[in-house]
Amino acid sequence: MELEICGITKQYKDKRAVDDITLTLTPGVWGLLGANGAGKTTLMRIIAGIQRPTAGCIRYDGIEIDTLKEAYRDIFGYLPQEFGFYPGFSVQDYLEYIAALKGLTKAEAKERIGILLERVSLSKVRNKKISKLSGGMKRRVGIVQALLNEPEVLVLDEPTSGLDPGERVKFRNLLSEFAHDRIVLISTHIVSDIEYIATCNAIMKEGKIIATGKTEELVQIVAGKVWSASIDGRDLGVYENQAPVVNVYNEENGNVRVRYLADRAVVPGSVSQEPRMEDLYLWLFPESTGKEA
Amino acid sequence: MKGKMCEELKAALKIEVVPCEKNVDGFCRHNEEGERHRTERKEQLLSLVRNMQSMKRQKKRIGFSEFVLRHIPFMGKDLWLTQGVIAFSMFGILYLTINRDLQALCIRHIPILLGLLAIMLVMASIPLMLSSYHYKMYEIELATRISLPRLLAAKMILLALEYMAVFAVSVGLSMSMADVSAVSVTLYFVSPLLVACTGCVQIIRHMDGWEEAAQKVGVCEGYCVCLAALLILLYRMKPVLYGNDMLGTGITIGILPMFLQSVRMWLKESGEVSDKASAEI
Repeated sequence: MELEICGITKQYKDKRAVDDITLTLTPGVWGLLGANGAGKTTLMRIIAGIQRPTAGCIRYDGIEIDTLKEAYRDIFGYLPQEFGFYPGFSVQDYLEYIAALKGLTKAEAKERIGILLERVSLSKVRNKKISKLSGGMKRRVGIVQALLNEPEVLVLDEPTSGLDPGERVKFRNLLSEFAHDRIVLISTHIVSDIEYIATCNAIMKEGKIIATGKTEELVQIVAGKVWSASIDGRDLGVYENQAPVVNVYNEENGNVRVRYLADRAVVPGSVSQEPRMEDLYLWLFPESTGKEA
Repeated sequence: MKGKMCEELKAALKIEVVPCEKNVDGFCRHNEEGERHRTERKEQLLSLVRNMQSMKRQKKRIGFSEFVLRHIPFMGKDLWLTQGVIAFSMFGILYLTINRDLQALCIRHIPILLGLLAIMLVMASIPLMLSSYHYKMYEIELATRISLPRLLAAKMILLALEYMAVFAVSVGLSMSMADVSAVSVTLYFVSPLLVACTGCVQIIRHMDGWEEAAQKVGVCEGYCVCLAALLILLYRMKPVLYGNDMLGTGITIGILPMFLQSVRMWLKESGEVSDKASAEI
């Protein structure tokens, strides 16, 4: 089972949102990491077959998805970034509605809805209107709808926005369990969403994939560039101008411990640190800290 | 293997066939490379056929007709109820306005009543037709097996059933109580219905992006109100036009292809996220 993204380009009038991306996705959790506006959502939509690329194609097991049409949508689950619902629908109504759209028989829909609501702990609210649910619950309903047809390819665009830390952990576990022998692609700019569960990551910037690999491979890009030092709190502004600061921790003696990125140590007494995905992200997207590396 | 599958495979394969080298007698020369190429191609073909077959036979899925039936509890019943109430209210109000004289109502007001009824039915349908965009269900619905074009088609079928039911009642009442011909009733009802529908579909098609769903509803409703006002104006100023079956037939025949083409284009365009909508996000 593999999903090939072959030379995908998407050009809008004055902007190239996706620029000649080629990638082969195999079973497991894939993290698509990139800052807002990097072109992730456009790429997700093209993979979902709901937006036409300017050039290139998507192949599932060697066959173009344009040819497979509904056979592809049968094995496909999708949670878009902007997830809506009809206000009059209860959770049960909504899921039955989506199940019908996915072509599930009534009996299969009933069975799948029951199992999945149980899995995401929403059984008790199944008759409640979706509009009355919390943001996290709505998101879980969104995840359930994506899983209704037991997809072989699951694409989730910013799936954890609105989830609290506990729900994020549950969500990650659910995905890890589900991803066994399936392709799961998660687009996010929240590093922790994929750091622990992604079998492979692709980093996207300005419409291009700039790096791919396992988390431990990718973080080597910033190996030797992550530093930690204790400084006087009053000097923080000075050092922030010299290097992107990943983390600031107040110490008991009035000093602050900073974790920062730089080719060479810029603070006296700095100690080299083990790199993490968050460090890599900030190294590649320095604009997200407001500083250039 | 079915013809449709063959076509799909042809499109899927896109394997260039390397022409074989020919002998002087015109027959293919069987060399080693040609043999290897044929074997590779055969294996590739078999692998793709297996993949495609296994995907198509994976699970039992419902067809479009069953989907339309399944869609009734979600959309149909509310819609039918709303439109039934509209139709009943219109008749009720007019009936009370003209001193409960049903005979007079039928004779004097049948043409305008049917025209306004058709337009009001269309007005009540617009929010339903745009609900996917309005409630941002668009992307999820697009990525499903049935997908958005067929969902819209299902909604249209449910609407058409509603229109036909109202139309049948109107024909029955008009013929029995006012001695108006079935042809006239058809024209009084169908011409404004088609004009309203075609205009609304064109407005929806040419206002890009789902962000504007509420605006689209507003513009369509405004268009329908203008159309209704025009009908009333015509009825008052030139009532003779309503007696002209030729004119009604001409309008209906003229607008029908435009209506069908507009709907066809809309369904086609709704099959993917528009670039404008996407670029705005």
